[in-house]
Amino acid sequence: MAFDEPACHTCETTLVSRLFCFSCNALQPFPREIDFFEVLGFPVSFELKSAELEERYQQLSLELHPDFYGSAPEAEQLLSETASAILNTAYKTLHEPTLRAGYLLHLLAEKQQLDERSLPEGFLAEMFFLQEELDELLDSVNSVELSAMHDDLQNRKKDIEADYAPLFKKHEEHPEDSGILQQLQTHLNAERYLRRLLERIPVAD
Amino acid sequence: MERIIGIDLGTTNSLCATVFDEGPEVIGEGENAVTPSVLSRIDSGWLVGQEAQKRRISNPENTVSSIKRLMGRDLEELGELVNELPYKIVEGDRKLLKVRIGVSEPYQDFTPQELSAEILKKVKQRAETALGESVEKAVITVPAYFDDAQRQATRAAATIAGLEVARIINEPTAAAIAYGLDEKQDLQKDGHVAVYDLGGGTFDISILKLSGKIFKVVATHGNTQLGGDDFDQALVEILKKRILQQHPQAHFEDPESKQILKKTAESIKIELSLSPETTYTLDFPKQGVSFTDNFKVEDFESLISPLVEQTLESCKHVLQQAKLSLAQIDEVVLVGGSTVVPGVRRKIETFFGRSPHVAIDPYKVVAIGAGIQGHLLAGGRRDFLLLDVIPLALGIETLGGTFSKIITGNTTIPVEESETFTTNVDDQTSIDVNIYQGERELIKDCRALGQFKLRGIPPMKGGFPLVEVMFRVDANGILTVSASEKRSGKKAEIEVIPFHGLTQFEIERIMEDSFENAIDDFNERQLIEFRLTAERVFQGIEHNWNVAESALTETERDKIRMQMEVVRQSIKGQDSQALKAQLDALGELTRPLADTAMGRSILTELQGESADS
Repeated sequence: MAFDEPACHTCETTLVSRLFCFSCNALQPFPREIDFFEVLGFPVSFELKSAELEERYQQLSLELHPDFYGSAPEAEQLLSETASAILNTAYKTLHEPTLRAGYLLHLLAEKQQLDERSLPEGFLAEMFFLQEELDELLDSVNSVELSAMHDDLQNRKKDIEADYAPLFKKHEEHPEDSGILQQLQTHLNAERYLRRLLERIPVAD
Repeated sequence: MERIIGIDLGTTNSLCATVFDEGPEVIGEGENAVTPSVLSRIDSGWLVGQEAQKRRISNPENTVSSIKRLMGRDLEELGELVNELPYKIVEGDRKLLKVRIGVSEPYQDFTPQELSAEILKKVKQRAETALGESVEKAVITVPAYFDDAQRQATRAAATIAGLEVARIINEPTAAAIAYGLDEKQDLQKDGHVAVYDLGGGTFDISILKLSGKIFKVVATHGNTQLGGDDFDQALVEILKKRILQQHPQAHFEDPESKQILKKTAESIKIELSLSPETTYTLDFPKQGVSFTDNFKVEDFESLISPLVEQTLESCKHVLQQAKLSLAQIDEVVLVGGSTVVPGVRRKIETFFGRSPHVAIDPYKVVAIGAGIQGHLLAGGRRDFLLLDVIPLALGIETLGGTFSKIITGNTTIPVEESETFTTNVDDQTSIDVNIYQGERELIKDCRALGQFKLRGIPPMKGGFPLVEVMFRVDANGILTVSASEKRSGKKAEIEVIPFHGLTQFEIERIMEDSFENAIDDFNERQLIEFRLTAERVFQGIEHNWNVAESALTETERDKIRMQMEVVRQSIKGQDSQALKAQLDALGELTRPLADTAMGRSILTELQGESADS
């Protein structure tokens, strides 16, 4: 996909990130619909080494941040502000596995109709039960049982998260199988429920 | 390279710093380095700083302090504080606060922005005098937990003061920069740093991650209505009780009594930072009440304990937000005048389980960090980068009074997020959206920042237009909103009505007013200054006329005498520039005198005057 490889608009070097050319140090004009993987210069995939992501984010921040364009022409100041903003959002999204999974699914499923509300079999009933239990515990301020419940929810959440990587991998191998994406959607929906319950538990000292 | 100074606009004191050839340092020396954030109204304008401080008791109804606590707030939010403050506060349009000056009609009302501007003007003037150059741009610090309205108010104050705000940065972050970039400090260059900042009126706790050149704020929490002022107020309440036991007839509602109580509380607090016990005397001459007693440090510490506990609650909260345990905090840095109170310091040390960094003066460290950031913005260095966050979520009101977050708290700035809105009915051409800031679920628990009206939406079927509203928070932490209708591609008009702030129009009007005044003020100041110089120079010449008689010719001496007469005439006039020109001319005439060894010492001042011009 040669045409997909973006080049610097001044020196024509192939760009690592669509936002900046490390070769001639030029800010790059970029389209609004740019995806977060292009922003940070990584292939569109769930697999991402967090140390590499961190390093690239820092590298780009040190070039793009508006602090370094204080005396630049106004157009450049504005571009640096917009570029830094999208860099920050891209980093935040890709850094957090759940957000990354949700974002990647959104990219991959663009042309497919997914059931956006799907949940695992029997999940809802289970959640209602847990919710009632949590209400009671919160009323009784039972900190021991609350923290046990916190751990339980946390473990369920981790189990779901552990499935993202293999599911995305499976999708890479069988891109025609839309059932895999639907499965991912179901996982993400379930995780959101768990997160909301977790947010209601106050953190113990 | 133009200079961008750093200004710490504090509740109690304000100061500025810059990077000199020798390194970053506060601008000015001794008393001139620190401007108490106090103003006092006189006929021709304001006295600011030390001069105003002196009038707190002699002229309480015209003297204003702790203005920072009013910035971007309304009457309801101030609560009890309104009764504690020794000056009157009234509420104007759009809940805009105003400080009322004067004992009777006609009152003069001033917004906190205008009053802060006077402090900034003073700081700017002092910096200009010390640096010998004009200062146009500044980095101004604010508490990390300041919301959008409070930041906007600070920026408006700077604009009114004639300063271009190069950046608004958070106080704890500024402190972290000062420590992190100071080679003399043994602060780890990679790791998590907690900055505990307790000032006169605000408290902040920020956790930063230092890695290489980057200072990244991970999370911040705080309370913009908690500080050393509250320690004073707690003391004031105790003092009142003690006095009433002996003098049941005593009363404290008048501005003078409030100022006397506050001033005594401040000095007790300071004394108890140095010794375990202090004696104080309170005199209320108008009531014929005099009261003397002791205060023990244990009593003071138990008095402020609940307040300090509140700050530690914030510390727990911020750790939770940063997803860090206490053990993962590598360094603790203390900032702000209230951290010198031994009882406060001890509690922080116990909480974090390590001794905090205090090597850089906690009064100066914020200004120094701001000065370094100013140096970076001016292009003087680019070996570090500060990545800061917005402290509280930004969002809008949705159905049923719920708060829908568009940008979450602790998000790295700059940041942009968009949200799409539509119409409810056919041919609707405008939508009103209310903007809030906060961390709670319901808008009634969040701060209303303003309302924007989307206008010029092309008439379409209800629910059909797609109005994309872009929320943009710049590197100053300040929000701007823009909008466009996606189907027609038309840019929707947007009008933001700030709830606690000044509109652009109001800022401009104040600036016009103050610009006219500023010329007069400046002229007046210079007149006073040049008149004093002339007096000193005359004395110098007259006392040492014998030197002139031996060193100068008759003609030269006559010319000097004539010019002295011209200067005398100018002194009586009102034109400072004319006076300066005549003084300069006198300097020229006495120049040959300065070349003689004896003349040099006498006339240095005069020659110095000329050399400066």
